[in-house]
Amino acid sequence: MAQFPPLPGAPGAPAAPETGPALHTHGLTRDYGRGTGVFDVALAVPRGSVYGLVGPNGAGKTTLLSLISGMRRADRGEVEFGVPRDRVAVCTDVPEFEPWLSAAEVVELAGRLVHADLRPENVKTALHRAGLSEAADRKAGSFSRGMTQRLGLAAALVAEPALMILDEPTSALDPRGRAEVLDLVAGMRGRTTVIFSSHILADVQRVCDQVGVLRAGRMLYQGPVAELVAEHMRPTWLIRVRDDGGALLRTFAAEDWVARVSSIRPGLVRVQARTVEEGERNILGVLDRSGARVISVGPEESDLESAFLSITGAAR
Amino acid sequence: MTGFDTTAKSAETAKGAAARPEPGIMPGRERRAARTAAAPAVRGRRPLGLWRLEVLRVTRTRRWLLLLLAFPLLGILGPIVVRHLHRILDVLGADGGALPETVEAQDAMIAYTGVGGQIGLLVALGVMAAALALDHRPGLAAFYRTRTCRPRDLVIPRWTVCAAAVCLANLLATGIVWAEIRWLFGPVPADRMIYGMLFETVYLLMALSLVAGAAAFLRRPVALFGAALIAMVLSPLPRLWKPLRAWEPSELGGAGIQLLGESTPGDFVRPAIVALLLTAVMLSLAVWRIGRREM
Repeated sequence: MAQFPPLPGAPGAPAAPETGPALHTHGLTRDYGRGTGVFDVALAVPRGSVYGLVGPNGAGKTTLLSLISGMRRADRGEVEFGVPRDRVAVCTDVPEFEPWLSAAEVVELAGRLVHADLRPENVKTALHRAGLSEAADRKAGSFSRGMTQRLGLAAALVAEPALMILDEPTSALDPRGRAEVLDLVAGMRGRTTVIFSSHILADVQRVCDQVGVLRAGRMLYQGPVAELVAEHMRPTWLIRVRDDGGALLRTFAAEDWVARVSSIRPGLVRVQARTVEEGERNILGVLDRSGARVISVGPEESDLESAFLSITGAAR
Repeated sequence: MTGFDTTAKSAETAKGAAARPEPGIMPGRERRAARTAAAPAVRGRRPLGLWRLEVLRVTRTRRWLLLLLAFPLLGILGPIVVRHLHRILDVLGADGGALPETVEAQDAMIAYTGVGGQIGLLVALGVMAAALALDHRPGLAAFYRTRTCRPRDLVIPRWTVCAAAVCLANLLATGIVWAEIRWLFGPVPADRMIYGMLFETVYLLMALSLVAGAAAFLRRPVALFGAALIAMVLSPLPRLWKPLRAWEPSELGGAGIQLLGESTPGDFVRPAIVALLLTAVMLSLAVWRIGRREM
């Protein structure tokens, strides 16, 4: 992939199709040696989706995003954009700006580098969406890391991108700021395609409808978040009782359909059935026979984190 | 600070976006026309593009002040110090026995070019190194590299605006020196002075292009400055080989002095050609290498 791909409309630049994936990679490989890098990654980001890219440290997320955004070159493989190349915005995990420019100037510059006919309203809107309206005239050099990250988002939003690549966009934000960014990203679904890299799997599960799981530079899973979570749902229930649960533990342990039973803490028992069906058929009968004072019974929530740990082979 | 606006775009913005031609499918000619058309300025100011950004870099970071101190201020002091050197030494109680009894216009020019000009050159190299270290800060490099589509947009505005500022400072300083020489020593040939200013400008451009050449391979400002300085120090080496002596461009640095002596403008044409060619080569190298560089 060229470092500076020709702008669409320039001679030799193919017009981007309006249908199909917003981004496709084929066999994308960058080998740094000793097993590091990314290898044969075939990424398919559906148009209008919020695509979460997750993986342990060193999995190759940042390398993959750098290859996609043209900041690094692939050894082999291709990156195909389904959107105009000049409508791809990138927000790095640690954005930096000229400290002597005001926030409004940074956003204006970011917009004008892409579209010379940027309107003043676009700058104001981008700053407003990033929550920086009141800091528009402050110098970027005086911003905290969290505010700088917001400014990076504003700079990415100003040109109304069709595809946004966000590398760890919430890493420097406080809980409130994180929630606001996640709401912002979730609000883009359907209008803007977003690739969202994060270590925080709860964030990814909250805002992403698609997910790609990377480990050691290889894509282990790619598809809808809901499917991934459902695939890795375990037949496990949590039972809260009034006493310490010791008697209940022994009762469940005697059942042949129970694969494993354990006490998480006094009064809270985890029961794992051999199958979901067996658990659903038998668990209430056992509770009835045990005579325990039951406060609550419910399936243990399956989440992206447990699915992630399951497919990356890490123990919970 | 307000919270993020997670709602859809404002109606006004949406309307503006709809009215604008779809980016990316605009034919090249229309795209160029759109770029040059007068766009409404944000908050009543001139649009902020790469060229204005570089002007702001010189003005807001006070680099203009450094250049002003290094060139015109030393330009003011040089001829005055030379003219009154004996009196100054008397006041300081120093022995001025080794100095000539009379000083001439050429000595005043030597004082500026030999001292002020050299300090100015160091400052100019530093200012240019700071401007061209565009990959020194990865986040900032990503900001520019993911938004510009041509490598020359990363290099040419930075180099050109900074070089213009340096050359203006030097021309201003030389103009001051000229006025002072006329006042303190009497008139000097105007054409010689103008040729001197011209050749020294070419020399400065070449020196600054060496920073661009260094930026093609290095990232840190200190490294760029050091590499360019070493290149400047080593640049007169080709003079050791006689056939190259007449083409060696470092000679241009002293053109202002020598033209007040026995040299003629024709003596500096060949070094000037080499300097200009070297400048073009160094800039092309920087554009090519920086465009291909990975972050």
